[in-house]
Amino acid sequence: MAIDQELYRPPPPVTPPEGGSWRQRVIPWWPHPNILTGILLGAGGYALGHFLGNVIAGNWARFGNTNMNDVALIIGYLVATLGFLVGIGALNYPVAKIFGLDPPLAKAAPRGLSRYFAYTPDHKVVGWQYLIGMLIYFFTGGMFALAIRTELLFPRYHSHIFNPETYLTIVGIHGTMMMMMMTSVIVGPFGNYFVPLMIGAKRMAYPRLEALSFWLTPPAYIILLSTMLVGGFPTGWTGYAPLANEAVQGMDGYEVAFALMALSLIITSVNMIATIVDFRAPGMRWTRLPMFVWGALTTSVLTALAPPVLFAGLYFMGMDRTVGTALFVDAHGGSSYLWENVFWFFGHPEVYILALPGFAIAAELLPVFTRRRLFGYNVSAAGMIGVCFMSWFVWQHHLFVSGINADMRPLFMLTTEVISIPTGFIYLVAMATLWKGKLRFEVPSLFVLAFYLNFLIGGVSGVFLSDVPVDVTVHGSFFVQAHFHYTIMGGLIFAFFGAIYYWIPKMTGYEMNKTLGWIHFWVMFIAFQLTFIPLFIVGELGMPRRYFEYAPKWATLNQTASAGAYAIAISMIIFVINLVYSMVWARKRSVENPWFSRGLEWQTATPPPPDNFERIPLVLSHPYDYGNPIEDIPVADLRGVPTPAVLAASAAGVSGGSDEIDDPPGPGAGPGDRGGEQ
Amino acid sequence: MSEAGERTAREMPRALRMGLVGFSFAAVASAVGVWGVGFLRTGPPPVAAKVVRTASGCNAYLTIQTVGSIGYGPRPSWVSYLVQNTKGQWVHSTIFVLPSHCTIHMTNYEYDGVTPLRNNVFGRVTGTVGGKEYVTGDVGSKKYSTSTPVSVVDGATVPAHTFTVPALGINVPWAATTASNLCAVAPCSPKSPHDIDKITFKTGAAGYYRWQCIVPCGLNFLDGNGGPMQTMGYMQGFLAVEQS
Repeated sequence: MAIDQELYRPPPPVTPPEGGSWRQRVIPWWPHPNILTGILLGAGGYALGHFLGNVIAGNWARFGNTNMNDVALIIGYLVATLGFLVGIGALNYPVAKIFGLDPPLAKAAPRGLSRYFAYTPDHKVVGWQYLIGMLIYFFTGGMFALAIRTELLFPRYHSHIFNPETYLTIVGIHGTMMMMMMTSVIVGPFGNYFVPLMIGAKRMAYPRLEALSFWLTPPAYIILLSTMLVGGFPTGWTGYAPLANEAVQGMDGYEVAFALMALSLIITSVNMIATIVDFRAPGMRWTRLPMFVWGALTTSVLTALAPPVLFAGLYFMGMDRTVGTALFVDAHGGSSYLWENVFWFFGHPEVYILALPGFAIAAELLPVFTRRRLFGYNVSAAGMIGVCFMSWFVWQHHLFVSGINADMRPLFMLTTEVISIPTGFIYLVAMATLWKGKLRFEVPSLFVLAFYLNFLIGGVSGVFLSDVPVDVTVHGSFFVQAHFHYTIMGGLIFAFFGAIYYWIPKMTGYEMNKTLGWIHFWVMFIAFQLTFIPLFIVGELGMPRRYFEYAPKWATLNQTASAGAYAIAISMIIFVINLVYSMVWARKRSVENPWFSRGLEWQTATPPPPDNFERIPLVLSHPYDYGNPIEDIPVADLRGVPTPAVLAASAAGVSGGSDEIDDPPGPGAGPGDRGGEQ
Repeated sequence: MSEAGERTAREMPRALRMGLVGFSFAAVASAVGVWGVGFLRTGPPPVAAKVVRTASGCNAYLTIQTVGSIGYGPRPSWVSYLVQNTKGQWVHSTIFVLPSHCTIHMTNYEYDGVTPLRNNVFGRVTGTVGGKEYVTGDVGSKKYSTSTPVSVVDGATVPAHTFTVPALGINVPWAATTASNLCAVAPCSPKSPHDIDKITFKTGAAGYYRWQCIVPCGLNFLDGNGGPMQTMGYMQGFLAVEQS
């Protein structure tokens, strides 16, 4: 209880000094830690770090001869990030605690609009910060995609918009930014916002770490973009050695930005796992856990284990590029092949870090819009666990043509095909839920249906690619590019927009405009097919990825894809117009539960109050009990204290959660109060 | 009036504030976008060769120099190419604009020293008229005071750089000067030690043809393949062959 009070304590009242006006004592907004102080200290930190780097390594012969001091740049980035975190107030609490002082964050917790630009332990604010932050990532990455498609409008000669290395940098930033964004696009906004609400908790387990996980992403964004200023990087998002070792200073930005994002992911996952395991309300048994929470949990297991491998690889790369180690340099005793393995040992679980949250969103929304209980709930959860487990055994299918031991190829072909079985569990559960369901064609459900169609195409083409003969034929072509865009953009991003339309009324209390939502969906859906189906064909015909020139015979297909990409951009503009129109211009109050969902998050007030629930709820029944006789049993008792009548109604189902029913939480007590110190 | 009342009276309406913030954000985002696109589109300028058309056909004259270090700009120590424009000025660029179906007379003033080839295959002159280059100056231990045809050179002791256009089958190893007091700031004066390498080749259809130096000359980059070897304007470029 003490912690919650401390976190959400309102600012102390300001009393006027004796003989003076109270206005003289009002502290202006700017001395409080906020994004502007963060930017100021970040810029200062960069200058300091760069200076230190020059002092340390300015006279190293290698850097002198190449006009590139990678040490100065990397230390500059790191001190800039540290300065930004100091400026935003991330270190106030731990530093104050170290010195035994009253934590300043509790006193200075901002209110109003400014809290969205500050370091705050409120999980709903962090959810909003993630949502806007990831949309900025997505739109920026999308602009780079448009640049790629513009360059590829015409095959060759006098049509070039960019020079070749700029084009490669654009491809690299697009890929890296999108991959960085996709890892957090569901778990960041919706995980942080809704997991506590869905499991009946007042907050995340480690609120300050939650804030830290978000505030690491803006420096990563800026650092990645800054690579353009120092020559860019030629490797794409995969950063293959030895090209990465040869590259100019833009590669340093890639390393640091990706490492910051890896750190953010690790922090998020630890927080998410601790929250889901330890903060579930009484009665929220594992078998009652919403599918979205299952998805967040399994994704978090992957993000706890995979990004550390990436982080280590990037650290090695940084050492190679600065202090002269040769971990990835074959000629000096290292191995570029080591990078390929390290990267894909992260990179393929990463694919499922992107897929699982999409599946989780779709499985969460489907029962709501079909009014049917999720068919095979246990199978679906088992499928997610199976994907989570199997994803560690498939990474070498990315290396089929790299010269790996030929005997290993059938093994990884087999494991890659086997992972389609748990994926199939999740998919078929959804199809069975649709069967005879009373489907409502609302905007969120349209996005969910599109998710399943797109993922089917992406998944089946992925099974093709798992076969060595096919992979050897189309490796490095646009066929592969179209495949993973169907799974990631066609899957995850469609689920992401479905989630936005589904949960925005809960988050804001206002409806999104339905007509604009429909237009957004249909333009995006058609444009998506228009963009990526031609790329399957040009890939099959042999067009390689990452080339800025191509044979004139592929021009029509490429121009069709480019037209589709522009149409996707138009659909995004429609979305932004809808968001601004519905949330600012013509606000229309939403009803409390517009989708008639049984989800626990919909049972509390809209938008959710600061502590989510007045009391920790007592979960009484399954979140997907639609269309059966026990639907009348409420999903939870929000009064928190079980009455004999409720106990009788819920029979034996109330004691299997994380808390025992014979120790009911009192007012204000419960899992949300147990977190203790970070 | 109360304090609160004064404060309210001085504050702008919420809609106006939001509009101003939105407008400012849009203005900054647009400015950054325009600047970003402009920045991304920057690159070395295309430089046209001097073209002379006579009854016998088209002839173009392209004069370049190769320097061991450009001596200015963000990468002063990088090895670079410069090209002379039609006014006789030296321009730091590797994009050469040439007419199609034309005979190109190319002269390279080579101010850089020797960097060995990895593969002696690139020591052979290919794709030029007669399969030869004409060298005045040092060819390894030999010194030619007049323009002397050379068809193959020792990859270990002769080349400074190469002019290699895969799509046109052209490969020319530029013979390096063996002097030690090399020019370090471009454009270099003919008073500095240098070789003069001349070739003649014919352009075909209009197109955008990539050329690259094959000698791994990125000093202090891994295997010599980084930095200038990967950067437009230094050791790689295009022949922009235009319809004539």
